[in-house]
Amino acid sequence: MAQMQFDATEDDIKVWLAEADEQIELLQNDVIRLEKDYSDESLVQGIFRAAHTLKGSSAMIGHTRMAELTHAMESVFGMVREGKLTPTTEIVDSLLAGVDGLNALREEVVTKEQSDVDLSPSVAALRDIVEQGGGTFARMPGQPPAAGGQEPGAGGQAGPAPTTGSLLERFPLEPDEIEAVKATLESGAMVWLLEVDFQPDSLWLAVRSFQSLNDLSNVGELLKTKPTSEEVEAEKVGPKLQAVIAGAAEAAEAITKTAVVIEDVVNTSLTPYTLESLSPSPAAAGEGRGEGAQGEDHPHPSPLPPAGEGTELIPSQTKPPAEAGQRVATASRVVQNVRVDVERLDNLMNPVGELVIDRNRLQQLALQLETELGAHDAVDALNETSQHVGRITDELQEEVMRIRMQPIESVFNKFPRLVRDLAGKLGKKVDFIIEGKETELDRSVIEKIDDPIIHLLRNAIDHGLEMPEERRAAGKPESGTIKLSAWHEENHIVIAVQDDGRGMDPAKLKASAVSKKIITQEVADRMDDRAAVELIFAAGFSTAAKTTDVSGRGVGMDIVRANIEKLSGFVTIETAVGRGTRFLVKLPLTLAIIRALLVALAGRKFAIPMATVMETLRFDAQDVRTIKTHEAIQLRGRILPLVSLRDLLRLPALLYPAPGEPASASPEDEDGDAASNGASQGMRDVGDAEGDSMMEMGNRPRRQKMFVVAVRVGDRQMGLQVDALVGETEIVIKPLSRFLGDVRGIAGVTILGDGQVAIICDIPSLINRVVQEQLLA
Amino acid sequence: MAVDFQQVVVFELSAETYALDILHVHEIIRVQPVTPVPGAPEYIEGLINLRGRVVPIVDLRKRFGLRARPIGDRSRIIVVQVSDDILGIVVDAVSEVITVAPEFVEPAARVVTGLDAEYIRTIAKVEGHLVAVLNPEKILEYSDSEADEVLMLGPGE
Repeated sequence: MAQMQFDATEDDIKVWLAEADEQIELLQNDVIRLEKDYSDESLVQGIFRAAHTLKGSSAMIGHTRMAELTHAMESVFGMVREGKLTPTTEIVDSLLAGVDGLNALREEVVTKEQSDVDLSPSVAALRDIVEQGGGTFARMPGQPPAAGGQEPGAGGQAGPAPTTGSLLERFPLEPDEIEAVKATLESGAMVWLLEVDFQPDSLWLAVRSFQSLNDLSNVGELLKTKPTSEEVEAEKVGPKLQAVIAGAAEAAEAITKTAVVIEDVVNTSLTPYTLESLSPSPAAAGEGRGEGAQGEDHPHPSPLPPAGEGTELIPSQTKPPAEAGQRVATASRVVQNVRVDVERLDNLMNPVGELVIDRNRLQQLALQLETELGAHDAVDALNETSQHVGRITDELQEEVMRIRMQPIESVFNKFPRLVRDLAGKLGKKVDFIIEGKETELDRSVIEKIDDPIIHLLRNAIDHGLEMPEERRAAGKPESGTIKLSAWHEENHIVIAVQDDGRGMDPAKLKASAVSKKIITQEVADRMDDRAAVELIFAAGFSTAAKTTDVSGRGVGMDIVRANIEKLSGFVTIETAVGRGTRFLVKLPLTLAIIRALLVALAGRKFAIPMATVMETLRFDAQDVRTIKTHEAIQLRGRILPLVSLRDLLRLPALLYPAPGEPASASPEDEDGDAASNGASQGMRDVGDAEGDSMMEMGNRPRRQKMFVVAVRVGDRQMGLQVDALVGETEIVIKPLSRFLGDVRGIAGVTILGDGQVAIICDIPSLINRVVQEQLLA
Repeated sequence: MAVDFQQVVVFELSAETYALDILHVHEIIRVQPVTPVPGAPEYIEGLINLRGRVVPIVDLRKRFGLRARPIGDRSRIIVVQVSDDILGIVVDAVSEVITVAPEFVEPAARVVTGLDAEYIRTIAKVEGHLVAVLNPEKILEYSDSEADEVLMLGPGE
């Protein structure tokens, strides 16, 4: 790999990358829209501007390949903008290939190594598009300049800068502009006329001019330039640039230096304005454009070059200086957004998490002291302080969380391209609709959701949508519609992937699962439609007759679901044969701090995320019904399947005494009767067999009070029997140590206010476990 | 050269003597209650809260298939750190910290101990005894197959 060198410092490159990323992202997101919305002027203008800016900035750091490619793309955009070219699918393909090239070239700036991407086909294709569209492809470096080919609108003046003559002759100013310069001078600042000559045959005049104006605006205030920045953008440039620039006296050196280092600059001159030089001498007024402007009845045409320049620059010269001043002000205004390294945001989250834990601890301590000491001034003071700390922590937490919230747009924006490419590969027609991309969620979630969504989209295109002819035969429009939407629902974000394709047939899914030996015929017969549809989440299941390179990359829907559950989310399916399918993914807004219900099991506290909790209930053991072989309770006329959370978590296997832990130390004991029954007993019979406690659970005394947490995942509800309810609290989720591997059924761990480590139950995955076990039973 | 001398923490486990390079030892703490992790590999005793950090505790005897021993007064947890991972190891007793001269250290392969040779980095000769210096990276290595066994749940998984 060839090493690359760029014409910029490391700091400059960082800035360059940040800017280039914005432009490339814009191109990436918007070029694909050209196909349909090419008549949308602001869209086309935005794309053109992005390509143009990128061209300028890549040339600035000496990235010629990128400049060349963006130039080619810009030419196409230019023709679209002028209405000379209609972006067909093929043209958009070429442009997208160009965007891919840009991404590769952008990488070069990071790695400083030349990538092996061959751009010549891309550039050639784009050039063909321009030429076939009747346009002329502007010269690029390496191509011989067309004979006599001045850029359209290029300044007519080819000679070197006339560094003689009065300043006003060299660069005429309107009376109000003169007043502005005078005012600046009177305020104590300096004003100069800067004249820059470029190599007349430079192929980069527009870029150099752009670069000059850009760089100069960093060292001084540009009061007036020729060409103006609008003209530079429109490539109406010549080999000469003039600027009235203001600044402190010390700025002179910086201004000259800035101008001199720009490539292709052959000559610069910097002349200060003085108050005297701005008072037009009678001679100048007589000969110059001053008279031409006021002498309507003057018989002589203006004989001097300034008049020639004047005609070309009339638009800019008639621009009131107030507006020009405003433009300068806008450009130099301090940006009010601060870019922060995401790592810093993450680092900020950790202490806030610790603070939340300590707040909980403080509150618990205050409570404890109050119980022990009764009314006491110190206790009151502590209570007050702890409440105050609590409030501040809440505010801080909320604010930090808000900073971390990002619109889901950054993820969604990748998908139009993906959908388009996939549909093209599979010969399907797709209208892709995105809704709700402004919906915000925590960074930690955003980073991890794109894979699951990509799989759902692939699945929708590959398996969901029919081929155009099939759709026509079914009386549907040839183009299938895939809708990706996002919205907030309480503390969750819901992401829906919906297609209007063939839908899923439960009978076929069952048959397929049986033939693949995923389930037995007997199990299949017992399955209801919902369970049948969820078969697609079983490992090794794929509804396509053959594996395509689109969906069947060894990653099945089982992995999709596992990944979503890892984010404490869940996925549900709605489907109707012939009408389509909708996948709903529900995720918590954040993965860092959540509200949880604490329950006691076997003398330990476990956390259940509140997001899954419907309500908590107290039941007599005798109210438990047995339906078929499963236990259930009746809740307001509905049957709620009942499962022991102990059994579900396979707790009995864990009931060996923790090293050195006295059995009585379990803090749940103070929580009253419910906590001690079963719980402490479990702690004591640990020594012998694991099966014993299972038995104990099975033969529970009939009159025993039992506690049930009713949970819901999607439309599945279940009652989880626990030993005791401890309370609701805010918890900071910590991941399980890598050393423990991927333990199913556990969403993570947390440290409670009393310092104990508690396991956070992964309710969706536990419920799936129940469903699968009951099917098998 | 001083750098060639190795400082090791010597400890007892099922009547055998082992050691760990002191550079890997974060701290030594008393045995404390753990929070068991349902579904985790059997040799994971559970989790403890070490000043706000959740640390898994490993029973090396279970990991190595040695004879179990009850927790006694001299039992300790050696907290081991390898790069960013941190882990507690339950041992029967921590005896001493000693400095071993390079000429008393040999590669592991030539000596037979109660442990698989892969867990042992070197063998040090200490006061006439042979002490196996463990390889913390290897102990920390998470084994997929072991975990999968424990995790086999329900049909289709």
